[in-house]
Amino acid sequence: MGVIEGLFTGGKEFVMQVAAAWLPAPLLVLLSAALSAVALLAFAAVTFMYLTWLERKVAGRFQDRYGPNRVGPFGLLQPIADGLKFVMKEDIIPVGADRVVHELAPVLAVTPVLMLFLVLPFGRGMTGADLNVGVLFFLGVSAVQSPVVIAAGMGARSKYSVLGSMRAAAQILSYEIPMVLAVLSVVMAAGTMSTNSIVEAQARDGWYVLTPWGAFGMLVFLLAATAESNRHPFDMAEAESELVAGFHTEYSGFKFGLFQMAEFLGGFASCGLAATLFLGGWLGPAFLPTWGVFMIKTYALFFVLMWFRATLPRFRIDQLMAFAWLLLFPLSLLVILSSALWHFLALAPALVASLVLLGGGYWVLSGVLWREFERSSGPRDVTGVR
Amino acid sequence: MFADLGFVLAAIVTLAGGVIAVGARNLYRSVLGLMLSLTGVAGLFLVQRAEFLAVVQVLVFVGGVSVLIVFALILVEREGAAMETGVNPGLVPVAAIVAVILSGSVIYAVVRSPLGAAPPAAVQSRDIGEALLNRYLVPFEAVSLLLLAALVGALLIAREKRN
Amino acid sequence: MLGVKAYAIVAALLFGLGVYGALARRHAIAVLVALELMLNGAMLAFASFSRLHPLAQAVSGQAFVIFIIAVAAAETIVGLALVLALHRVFRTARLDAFELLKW
Repeated sequence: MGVIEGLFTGGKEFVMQVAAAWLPAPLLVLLSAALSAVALLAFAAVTFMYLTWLERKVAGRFQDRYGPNRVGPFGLLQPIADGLKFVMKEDIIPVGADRVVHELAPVLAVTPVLMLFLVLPFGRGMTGADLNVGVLFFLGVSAVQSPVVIAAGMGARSKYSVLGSMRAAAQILSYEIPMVLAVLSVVMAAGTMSTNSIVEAQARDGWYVLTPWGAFGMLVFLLAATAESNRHPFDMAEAESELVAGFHTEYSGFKFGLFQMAEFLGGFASCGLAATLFLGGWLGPAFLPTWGVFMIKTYALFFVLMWFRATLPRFRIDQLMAFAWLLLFPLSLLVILSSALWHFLALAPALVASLVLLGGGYWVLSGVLWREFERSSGPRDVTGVR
Repeated sequence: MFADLGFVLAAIVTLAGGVIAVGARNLYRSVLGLMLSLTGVAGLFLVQRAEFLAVVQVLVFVGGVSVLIVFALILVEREGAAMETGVNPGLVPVAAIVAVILSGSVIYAVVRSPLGAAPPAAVQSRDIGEALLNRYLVPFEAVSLLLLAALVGALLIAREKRN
Repeated sequence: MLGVKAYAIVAALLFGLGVYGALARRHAIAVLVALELMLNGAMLAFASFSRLHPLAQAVSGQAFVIFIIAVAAAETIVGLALVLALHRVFRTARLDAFELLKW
């Protein structure tokens, strides 16, 4: 098992040793960084392709049908066909559009998402860049998506685009807060912001999802991360039946493909971070390689995201905002409080206090605030009565 | 060597963004220049090994404040032709002179002073956190009050009057 | 390893650009953008100069940068709210329209 476990780290070490013989020292640093970067980029690209395949297969199975199975065995060549289609489509730029922004926006959308993979601990010793502030880096880079989305919409100068981009940016900003607070609870418990160190802290303390605050925290984080990458059921800003296609209406062909890549990879990276923070990262049974364990956990969480898409109806835009501010944000504050209580109290009183706090808090929030919101904004009957 | 290269790149990005921010006729381009400049400043923080500051800068400024400014821009000008404004021609010489005097005096003082090369202080985020919660607790709480006041005040000021 | 002077020069230039923009630009939001540039210049200066000191005092510079970020955000929020309110009354946000105080 040592060989499979150290497949990637061993391979990189081998290449570095070969290169150390005839490269000067600063170029060696550059080579090391370049190797990690190329590996991560290749992983991201292939993952995106096969995530789209997986999404369509899973959605098909949920709907009691096969999903793509014509192109290649089990439809495995479907992503390649899709990629060819995107590349061959005509690249339309609207007449009044701001050319520079229109060309740059898809690139600016994909680049931060690719940077997210730098701080994910894929296995023991397999973090791209083990930053001291790794988790904060993840959050900061995913926050860059909001101005990019606005740039994409405004650059196209069409009403649908601008409206869609405003909604999408407001959504990203609103859901950032519960996401950051849920991550904060984990950082408090682990005492460090480095993703690898958080995994090692879970080796000592047990997976955080097994604690009350961790379970709620993971729920909050997963929902907020789904909303951040504009995935279903939070994809009002780009849903086809609603706003034509929101901020990426005016983008065709390859540029649209880049936006889709940003959305899928954003969701995947967030699942990876959720697996790292709450599910113990690469910790797992000894007979599996650590990077295999990480992949299994991340794909399991992404399967939950695909499950959402197949089963849940879409949120209306005001329901979406209320969900962030009235439910997730207070709940994330309670998660932080509960995490602190868990740290300082002994097991039994901490358990009781956490369950009371979180369960009671959720009950109050959904029963009082959400019900009040639904009452004041929900459907009315013909006489105007709610 | 990489640090110097990084500094030069980040400084170019920062100043180019600043020039776009104050020089662009189209307001939206100006805000994009601001975002570029803010990212450049984050890069400069990163080159100085102040990673926490760099990430917080990107998170708050690029991901938050810039978006706010764009929202206000859309609400005020509704992406119409009125987005094209430039400088007030009567004030340009005064503004240029004041800017040159202020920044020039600082640059002169810095260049003439005996500041040497300094290795980056190894400040961890833990140290910043401890400083904020121990030594600077009162300003920390005061800033949180300030943010609350700003939020409430902004909501009140910008609210539509309902008749 | 470049010294602190280079960073201080960049900070001063950024500040100068901001001053020019704040004085010469015609639209209220453009002035706010220039104010952000000035604050960033100050932040950069704080962070750069804090490197000269040993660790115990270097932290102060970086903590102060956090304060500047928070205060800049608060000031931008209120400034934008004011611009929105002015726009509602004057139908424009260009600074040359606000001349009610002139005789």
